[in-house]
Amino acid sequence: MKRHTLAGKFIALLALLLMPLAAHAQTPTLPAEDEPELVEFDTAKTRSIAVPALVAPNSADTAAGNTTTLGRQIAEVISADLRASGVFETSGPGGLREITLAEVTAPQFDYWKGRNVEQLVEGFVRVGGDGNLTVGCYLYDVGNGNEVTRLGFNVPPRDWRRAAHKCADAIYSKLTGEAPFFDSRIAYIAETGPKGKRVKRLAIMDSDGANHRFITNGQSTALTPRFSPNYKSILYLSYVDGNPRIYVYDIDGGRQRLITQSRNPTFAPRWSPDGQTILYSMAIAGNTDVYKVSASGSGTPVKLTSSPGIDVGGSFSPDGRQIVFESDRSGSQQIYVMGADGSNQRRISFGSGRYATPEWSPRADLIAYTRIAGDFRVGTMRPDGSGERLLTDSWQDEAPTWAPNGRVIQFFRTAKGSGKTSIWQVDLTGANERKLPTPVDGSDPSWGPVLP
Amino acid sequence: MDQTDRMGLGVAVCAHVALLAAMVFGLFVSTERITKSEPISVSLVGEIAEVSTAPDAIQEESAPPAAAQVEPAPPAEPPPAPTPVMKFEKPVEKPQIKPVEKPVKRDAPPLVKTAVKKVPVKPALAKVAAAATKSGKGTTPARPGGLSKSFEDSINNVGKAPGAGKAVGTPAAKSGAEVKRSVTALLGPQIQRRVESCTPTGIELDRIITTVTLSLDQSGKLLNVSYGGQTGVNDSNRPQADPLKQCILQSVRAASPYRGLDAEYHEVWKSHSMRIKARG
Repeated sequence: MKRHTLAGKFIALLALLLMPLAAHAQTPTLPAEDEPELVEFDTAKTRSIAVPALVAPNSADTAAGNTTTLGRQIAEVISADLRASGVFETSGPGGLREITLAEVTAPQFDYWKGRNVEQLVEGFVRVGGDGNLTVGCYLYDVGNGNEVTRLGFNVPPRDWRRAAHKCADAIYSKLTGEAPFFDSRIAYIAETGPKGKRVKRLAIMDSDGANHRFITNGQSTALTPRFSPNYKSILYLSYVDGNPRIYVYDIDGGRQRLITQSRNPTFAPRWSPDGQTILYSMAIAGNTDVYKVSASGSGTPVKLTSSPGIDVGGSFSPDGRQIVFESDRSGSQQIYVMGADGSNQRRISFGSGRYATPEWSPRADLIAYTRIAGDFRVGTMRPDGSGERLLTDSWQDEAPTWAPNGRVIQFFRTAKGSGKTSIWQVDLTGANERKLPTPVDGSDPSWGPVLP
Repeated sequence: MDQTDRMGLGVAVCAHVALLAAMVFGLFVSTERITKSEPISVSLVGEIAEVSTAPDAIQEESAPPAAAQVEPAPPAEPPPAPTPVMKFEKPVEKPQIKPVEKPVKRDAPPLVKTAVKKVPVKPALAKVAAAATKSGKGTTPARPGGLSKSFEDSINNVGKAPGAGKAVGTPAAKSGAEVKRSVTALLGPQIQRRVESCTPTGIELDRIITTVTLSLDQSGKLLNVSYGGQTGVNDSNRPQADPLKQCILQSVRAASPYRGLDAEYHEVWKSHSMRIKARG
């Protein structure tokens, strides 16, 4: 004991002697005298971009309509996509003059400068010998008078909207640095009927609301859909026999199968990034834990959590090595992270209120969640729990899902009183909060990856 | 341990304490000497590193009376102060003493390096400003070939910048920094108009600081822009880092030629670095 005391004193003395050195090491370094001056600019919130109708040099009829009409429709989709991103203030094709084919490669920059256009999209559409459409898409910087990028797409006439989304994606990516996301699809729950007796059907649509399709007929309630990474199937929760069970729905075949044969309630399904594993939660005698099982249906489910209370699976990290989930093991609903094998479980949320529905960003840098503290709000934090930011401020916003590029978050909003639900999206900066057009009320959105 | 051992131990301990005290005292004495010495400002500012660090008096004594080599200044009132100070020469690149390339339109010693080294910037600028004021036109140049209004405005605004007026270094060194600052103040808005149209948006964009160096000819035309790197890039703002860099480089090129720069001080701004931050 005495030896320990002496040793302690010696260490203390050593620490005292070394303290000045440590203090010196922590002295902030003054900026170098020759460090260049800092210039700070405010960035423009939106950029003006004009999208005149694409030129159809030899107007021809296709299964999707006349190419002249398609040229205008493609420009409309490009314009709408870019406007919806919140980054651009678009004009056209309505209200803009028609351009000639020669202008596609030699724009009249002075003309567009006079209309305060910063960026210009021009292009053409024509039918090839194989009956497919060739869509040319050119982006110009009007201020600097130069071409920024050009792309061409060869698509069957029925896929003309995809060509438009691809063009919009290319422009968006070039000007923002972000990965593309317009050419993607969304699964969601379409809701109809009075409050308290809602009919909930599984539905899918393009990222802009087009090509809407109902998957289930509403005889049994559907919840929490998730597209598989290859878009061939959808995981979702269904109350076929009154109990919540997870099914995989084959989109092309129109068939579905149970993920597990257990009679216990299963819910909160999520795909692994490679589509080989399914994460889900199962309640047994009041205790809910997180499990994973092979997507093929073979093999035995692996239990990943074992704490008393409710552990509900969230989602895999993009590299598939970690899982974020929610648990009330601390006494309140909070966000936890663990290894994909259930190891190293640790809490990352410590704010007031409760946290639910965590969803890992495809960019890996953030986790989106629902914060419950009075109202329900959607926010993000880093995987270590730092940098918490709330993006929405309404009565009830919940269940965030990421755009494939990790820049935009969708969620659903429930109206106070009526209980009507709608799908919204917001930019990661908190700007450009907007409602998505759906034919009926919508909830539980799930954004799929960019289409292959 | 007998008494002798204890005495020996006591003597050893006392000797060590005395040695330690002497070392500590020596340390303090050394520190005090440093604080008492006259501060020497060492300016590592590239093009103007070796100039304008000496007080005015020395310049007056040692400046070579070479009026014959200089084109006489046009008659102007009041007689302008000798301002060869802005003709900074890089010693490594131009080791030989030589007259400046451009004749100085005033009664001033030739702009040779030996003289330049000892001439402070600020007094000269102050005198020019005073001359302008006396002309009754505020910051209007008092004579042909004087400071352009925008350049002079930017110099005048330097004193209003945060930190201006603090006694840091010698007056000459401070003036060099001020001139650099004024050039940045001139170029910044010209670049900004371009940058605003192409800057990406995103979270934590304002953490990225991009450094560029502009090489400019005497007319303000951009000869070259070099990228000096970015700091503050992280997982969240990485997608914006390259578009921001491209936007800045493109904007710097598009904003050329730059207006308002006074050719007389070309040596100061012929290679000018700036750090640029976009507030997202």
